[in-house]
Amino acid sequence: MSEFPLLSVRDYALQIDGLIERNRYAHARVLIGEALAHYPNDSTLLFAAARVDYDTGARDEARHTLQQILAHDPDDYAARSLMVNVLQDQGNLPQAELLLIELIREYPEAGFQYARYALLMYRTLHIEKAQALAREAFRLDPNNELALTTCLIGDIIDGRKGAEQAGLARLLQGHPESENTARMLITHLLSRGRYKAAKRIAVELLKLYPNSREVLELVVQLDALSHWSMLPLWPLNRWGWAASGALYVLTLLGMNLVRNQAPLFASAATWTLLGYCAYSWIYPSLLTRWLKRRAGL
Amino acid sequence: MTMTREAYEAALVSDPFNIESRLGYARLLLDAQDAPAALTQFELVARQRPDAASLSGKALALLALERTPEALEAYTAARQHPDFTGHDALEQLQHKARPATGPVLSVVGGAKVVPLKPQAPDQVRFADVGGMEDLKKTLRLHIIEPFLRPGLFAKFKKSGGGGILLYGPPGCGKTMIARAIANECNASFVSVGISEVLSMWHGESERALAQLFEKARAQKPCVLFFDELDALAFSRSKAHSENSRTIVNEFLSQLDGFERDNRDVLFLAATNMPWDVDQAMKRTGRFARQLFVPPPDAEARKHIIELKLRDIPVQDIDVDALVTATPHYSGADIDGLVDLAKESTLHDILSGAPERPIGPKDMEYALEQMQPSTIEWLKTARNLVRYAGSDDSYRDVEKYLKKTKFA
Repeated sequence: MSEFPLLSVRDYALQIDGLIERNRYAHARVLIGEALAHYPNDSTLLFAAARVDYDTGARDEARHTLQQILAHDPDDYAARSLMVNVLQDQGNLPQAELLLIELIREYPEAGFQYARYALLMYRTLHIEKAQALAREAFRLDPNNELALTTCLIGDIIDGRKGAEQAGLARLLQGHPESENTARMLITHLLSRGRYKAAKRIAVELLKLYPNSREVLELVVQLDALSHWSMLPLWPLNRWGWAASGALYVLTLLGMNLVRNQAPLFASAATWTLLGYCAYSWIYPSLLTRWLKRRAGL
Repeated sequence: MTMTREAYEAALVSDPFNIESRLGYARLLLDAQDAPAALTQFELVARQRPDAASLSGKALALLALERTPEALEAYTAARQHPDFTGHDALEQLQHKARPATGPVLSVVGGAKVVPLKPQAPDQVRFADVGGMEDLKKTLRLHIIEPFLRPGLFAKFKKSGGGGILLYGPPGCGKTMIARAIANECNASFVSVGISEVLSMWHGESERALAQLFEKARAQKPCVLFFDELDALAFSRSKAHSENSRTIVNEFLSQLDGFERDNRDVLFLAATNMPWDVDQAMKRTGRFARQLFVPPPDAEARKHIIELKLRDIPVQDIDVDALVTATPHYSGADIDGLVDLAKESTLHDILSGAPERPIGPKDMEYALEQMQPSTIEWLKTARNLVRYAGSDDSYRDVEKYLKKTKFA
């Protein structure tokens, strides 16, 4: 129990929010326990408890606490909003969609909820519906980061380079320090084969979030892509299937040419080609695995 | 009418400068055996009105904390005031007290006479921090000597000043080192911990922070120490709440000392998460110097282990082997290790075995059970150094990782 005088729910909530913001979850849990001892069943405090559980990966506990809040007040906006995340993470996508539709019906002006719905639709590959929802989110709240992000995802999927660049510029202008913006920029650079530049941004992200496993994985993957030993695979990485097709055709032509013009080199050329194929097939995954292991992943 | 603790606290919140309320509150705390809190309150009253009541109260609180020399000093000061009334325990203590053997005054810097501050027996100094010689040498050169001998450093046009940020894995003695620095500097020590920071997140955060700095300036020379700096100066680019940004802005303004005098105030801070500290905090004149406090080296571990095993029954424990078996262990980890060994022995005794001292088997069991808590931190730091180490922010960490061959 604290040695300080009894705080109000609001003051407790402010302290707990501060701790959650700073990722001090253990301390936040202690404070929530103390606060709930004074104010049992307070929905603000219970919601804080659910947030801590959700952020620390205890999805079942978070869901249980949110259900407890919703049993008292089925209209609690914050609890329902977090419940969408919990349901999505648990793979219960139909329930998450129903809840999102409910939220959008009740708060038709909330562009953020449309953007979340768009993300859910992207996840389930309902691209057209997702793009329409993203556009609606952008119309309702043109400065919302998530709305801008969902629009940008749509542009990337469609391959609309001009729109993609404009969307990215809007994101960089409005939310230059956001993690989301950095991720979108990395995706953009990756699609253009600029692995080193993408890695530089990912490293900046790692400096900000060194505890994030996800960011570390991203850095490691980009490290593998930009590794000097991957240089011979650059055309395949950059142009994907198109490059593979071109390589196939060129190989056929080249092999015919070598067989006709310099039959002595045919065997060496065949082995070189086979070696390149094996290298392109095996080496990237080996390198990534080694780099991951080195990073403790 | 007798007031309750809560009533006093409420009264002091509405009128913090009411001496009678504070005095009553301090006495109540002392009666409730909460001597450290009582001492703080008596000191606040004594600063506002140094009379017999406040100084006697301070002496009693110090006595309760077994800080006898300081208690006697406060009691002697209380005697000089007109409405002084004696107190049995303190009177007896004064009769028993022998005359001081050491000099009360020392001559420093020519004719300037500077009184020596009384040194409490429990005050930690550098000599009490085992090992870590390199770190201590750096701290002495960059912090303590410029603070103690500003003239010498000015002659060489070497500026001291600026704050120091101590960072490293948890439980490795950053706070202890900060306390030792304050004592080596012969300065007052004002510590700002997580509880003070928490209270700033509601209410008037700027005012609370300004008061802390004023408190330090009023006690010059003073070391103002911010424990867990990341909580107070959380990176504004990561913060979602406006309050967090406001606190950082006020903090920066106080550190810059605009229209205020920060001379003779040394700013020290410690954090486990230097990456969460706002970048502006690390600029020149603020916490420009960042020092890595690594897990204790072999010598320091030996010192800690010997200290922990002192006064408990042990037999055939090879301390040197234990030192070798505990790389990367923090002081807190070693504490836990010895506790596990104790538990193992007690478990045996309680299961019917004859009473015996802690032996090598118990230590082996403890080592099997224990994992150093610094590993996660070091892994994170290693990845930072490996992938983001180009700007020299974590050069000391890099050196440590290379030296210890941390894979």
